[in-house]
Amino acid sequence: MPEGKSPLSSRVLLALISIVFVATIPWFQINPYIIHIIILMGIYIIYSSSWNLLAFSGQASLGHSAFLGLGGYFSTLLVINFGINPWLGLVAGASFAAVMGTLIGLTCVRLREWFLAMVTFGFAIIAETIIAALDWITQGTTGYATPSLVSGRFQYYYVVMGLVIITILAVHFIIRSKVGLALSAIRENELEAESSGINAVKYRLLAFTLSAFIAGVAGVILAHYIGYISNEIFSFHHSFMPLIMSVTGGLNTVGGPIIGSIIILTIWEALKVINPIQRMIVIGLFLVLIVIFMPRGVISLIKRYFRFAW
Amino acid sequence: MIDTVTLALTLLWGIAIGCIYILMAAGLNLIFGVMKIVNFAHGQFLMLGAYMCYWAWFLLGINPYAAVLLSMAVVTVVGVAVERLCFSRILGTSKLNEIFISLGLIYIFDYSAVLFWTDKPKSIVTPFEYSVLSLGIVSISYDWLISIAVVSVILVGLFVLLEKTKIGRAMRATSQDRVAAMLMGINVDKVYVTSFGVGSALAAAAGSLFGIIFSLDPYMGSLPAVKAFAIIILGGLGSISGAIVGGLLYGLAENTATFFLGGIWRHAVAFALLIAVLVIRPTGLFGEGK
Repeated sequence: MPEGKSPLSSRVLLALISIVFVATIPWFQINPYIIHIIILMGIYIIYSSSWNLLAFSGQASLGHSAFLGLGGYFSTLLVINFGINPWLGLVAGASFAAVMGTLIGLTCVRLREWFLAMVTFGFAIIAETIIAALDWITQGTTGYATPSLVSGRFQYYYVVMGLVIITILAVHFIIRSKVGLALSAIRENELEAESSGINAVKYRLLAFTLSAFIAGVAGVILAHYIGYISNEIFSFHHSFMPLIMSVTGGLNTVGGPIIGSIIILTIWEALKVINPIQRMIVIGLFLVLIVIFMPRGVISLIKRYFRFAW
Repeated sequence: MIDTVTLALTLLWGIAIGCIYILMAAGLNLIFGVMKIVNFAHGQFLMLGAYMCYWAWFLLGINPYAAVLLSMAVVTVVGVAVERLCFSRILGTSKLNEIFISLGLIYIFDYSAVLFWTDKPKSIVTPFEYSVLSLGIVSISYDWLISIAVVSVILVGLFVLLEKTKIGRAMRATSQDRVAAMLMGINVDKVYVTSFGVGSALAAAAGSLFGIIFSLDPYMGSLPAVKAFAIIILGGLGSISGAIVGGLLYGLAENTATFFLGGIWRHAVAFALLIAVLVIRPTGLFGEGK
């Protein structure tokens, strides 16, 4: 993140303008499909921000869909079977994801990059298998319809945008806090961080918990919004998307996942002319090109050419 | 109640599939040892190898076992291209970049395969498809026996390459100490390309045999790659014999566990094994077992 000193820096102004812009979009008579895409972008911004927060501590997860899915399943099952308030379900689902994140984190925090990637990937597969095996409550692979959180598309729009703002602010303040400092120290050089008194294992675990909580929020919202949940939510595609979005936007920045989610979903929609298989290939090529030619993501371009915005 | 015949068959299957894992693990291990990178897209070379074998058999009518060689050749070329175009450009940058690049490659390879061959499973029929060797109560398909033999021949070839040839010595030297190897006049770039090519060829052989024994689909590569990864952690870095023992153990363990728990647990069991290995040896490849 660039350094903004005064509270009314141009960055805050930019954020306010974007909020006002986003808030007024539904007032214009625009295609409901576009509103739908913007809601999806919002959910993905929350989801990839959670992935990015974990990556901020140097841990790249390949199984983030475990948290997305567990959050979604836990909250909707509570709502359906016990009739609890869906908003309470949101908190419960996210907390459940956070608990699972902590447990998974316990096995992961001591692992290096590749092993961590493999193990998190494995946990997503294990979660999927368990959910499918528990078919007497989860309906196995067929899934079930989920109740609605709010009444209509516009209501969802504002709920999601509100959650996006809360998430971005939360991630921003976590990264700026002492915790964030410790996490980036661990990411850059774990040995040095430990020798300056940072308990790396503890902070890595904390990153897992926080990240899983946010991913759980995204999962609950996604499950309610889409209207059904099946164990397809654990697919590797769902695990890789936040990674692709964060890398595209810019790793270790608050803005990266926002820009990345918008870019990737825009590409996805713009390529509707070709079939989904070809679109996947384009996304893969795009990721490879970004990593080779723009390892700091699109946000580095914006930072270079639009200095005035900061 | 446990059916002894089924158990015996399960164990035999474990060995056969273990052989395929060995090839994958040896290739990954070679690439990791020399270049210090992990190619998560290694399984995609397996998939590509399987389809090359399928094409050679289906379109050209070549015997599938002869097609293994052809498939190895084609995939070596692809591997070298991938190394030159992608991995060589990010060597020495953040290790996460390898993971990201590999993911991009997985998307490209998997979905290109869907475009070319659709996602319907295909199978390769060998001349020995329906012949079995009867050993008392159990009977083994000839295809499994031939596959085990093919793996043995390839592994002997790999040993000869690493131990007896100049480039093999250069590869071992580079894997021990890159800078010292450079100072000794070894062209490290050439060693990298060679290792990556050989690793890809091994994956192609694994894929061809996998396609012969089981069936082919575009997503077939990911899980064997993960398992190969677990095996090199189990077997130790740079040790081909470790990969052999690890591969057999893994094949046996996985098949026995699936036998007792049931098929839907197959993948979960594979990962549970990987996680168990990593919890015991969190440093994985960098552990003392070097």
